[in-house]
Parts: sequence; C-alpha cells; structure tokens
Amino acid sequence: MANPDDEQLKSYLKSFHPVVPEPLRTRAYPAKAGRLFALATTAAVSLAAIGLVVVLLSRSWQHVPRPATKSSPSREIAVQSLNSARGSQISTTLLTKLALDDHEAFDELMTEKVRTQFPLMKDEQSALRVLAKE
Amino acid sequence: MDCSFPQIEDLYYQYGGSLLLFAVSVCGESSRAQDAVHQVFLKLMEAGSIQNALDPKAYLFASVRNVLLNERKFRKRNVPLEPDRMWFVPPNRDYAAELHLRGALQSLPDDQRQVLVLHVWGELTFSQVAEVLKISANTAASRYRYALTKLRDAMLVKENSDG
Repeated sequence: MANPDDEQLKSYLKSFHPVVPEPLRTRAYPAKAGRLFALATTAAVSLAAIGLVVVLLSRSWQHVPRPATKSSPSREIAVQSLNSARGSQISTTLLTKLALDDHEAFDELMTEKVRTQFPLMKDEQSALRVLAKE
Repeated sequence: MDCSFPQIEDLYYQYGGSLLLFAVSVCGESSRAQDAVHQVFLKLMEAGSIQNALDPKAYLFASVRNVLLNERKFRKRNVPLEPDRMWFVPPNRDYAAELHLRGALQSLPDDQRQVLVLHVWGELTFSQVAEVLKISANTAASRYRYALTKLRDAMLVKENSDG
C-alpha cells in the first residue's frame, strides 16, 4: 500500500518539470534533407541541360546560311558589281555568289541578261526572220 | 513498430525532457546526456522503426542508457555530476528549490536515483523500470522506496541546515 507521505512527496517532485532538450539538429532529417537535395540537384541539372540546348540551338541557327534580304549588303555589292560589268564578261564567281545568296536577284539579273545578250526574235532583223528568208 | 518522421518527432517532444533527465542522472553531464538522447533519435530516424519494441517508451529509455553505458566503456571513468547545470524548470521560478532538489538527487546512489527518475519523471511503471535497468520489478520497487526515504531525509537535512 502506498504511503501517503510518499505520494505527497512524489506529487511535489512532479511539480518540477525536466529541462526540455535542444531541438534535434538539422542532421536529424536525413530523409527530408535527402529529398530536398535530390530535388535541388534535379532542378539544377534540368536547368543546365535546357541552357546547353538553348546555346547549341542558337549557335546552329547562326551557322545556317540565310537568304539575303533586299537590303542586305552582300546582295547590293553583287548587283553593283554585275551592273558595272554589264555588256562585258560577267564574273562566274560573282554570279555563283549571287545565286547562293539571293535567288530572286539572280533570276532578275539572268532575265535581264537574256533580253540584252541573246539575239532578238521579234524584230525585222531578228535572227529567226533572217534565217527564214535564207 | 514503424515510425514516420512526425511520429518520431512527437516521441521526442513527449519524452525528450524525461529522457534527458534520465541521461543526466546516469552520466552526470548535460552535454553528454543531450548527445545520447539525440543519438537515439537519429538512429531511430535512420531505421524508421522501433524494431521489436513492444513498449516504445521503455525502449527509448533503455536505448539512452545503453548509449551512455557503451560510451562509458570507452571512457573508463565516471564523471561526477555537474553541480551548476539545471535539471528542472522549477515551479514558480523557485530556483533555490530546484538547486535543493538537485542536490538531494545527486546525493542518492546511482541505481536508486535512476529508478526514482524513471518512475517519477519518466512515468514508467516498475515493470517498465525493470525492463530498462534489467532488474526485477521488485528490486525496482524497493530501490524506489529507499530512494524516496533518502531523498526526503536529504531535503529535510538541507532545509534544517538552511533554517
């Protein structure tokens, strides 16, 4: 049987509360920390991969030969050079360059050259008429 | 018994104070006691379960004791109880009473002090105390009675000497 004095002493002792321990340190969360670390690593790797892809794509776009626009300097230089050479022998290199850079300008130029350099077909002195008379 | 992280955290907040007090009563050093309690909970988190433990509360106290006893084997010496660290938060901020009680507890033999701490502040039954300390329940009960008697005497002596 419990001694009443003992019970009284016990309740007095219980009025003293043990000091609470310090919170568990961060190391105490291995699972959570591991998950966070894995997430952070995945995010970093994904970002790096996306960045790499963007850089590679932008570089490859820079290397793709783009058709020269009407105001592009290469077209103007080529047309000027060809115009100055009108009537004389046209440089094959310049023609090739123009054909590669600007198809429209090349076609335009070739049409013009065909008109001026081949013999006429419709006039009185056209090659066809002369040959027909013979 | 499987334990999720919040469950382990609950156990820590529920029993942390009494486990720490028990650890201090075993080893005498607050810092070592704190480390021992933390070590037990960290291992518990790593394992994710209290394996083969029918009584988790008794298991926690026994684990703290085992950690301290293993450590003591390496140190091969007993450290005297620290006189200046508080063990309790006293009622009504009566720090003199806390010092008084701490002194009385420190004057008890180790085995009696441990039983008293486990039964009063750990709220373990004598069977649980017996399981933790690997003694019989009867031995635990008799040590408790001796401890209470000595504690009362020590407190009365101190009060008389103060008065």
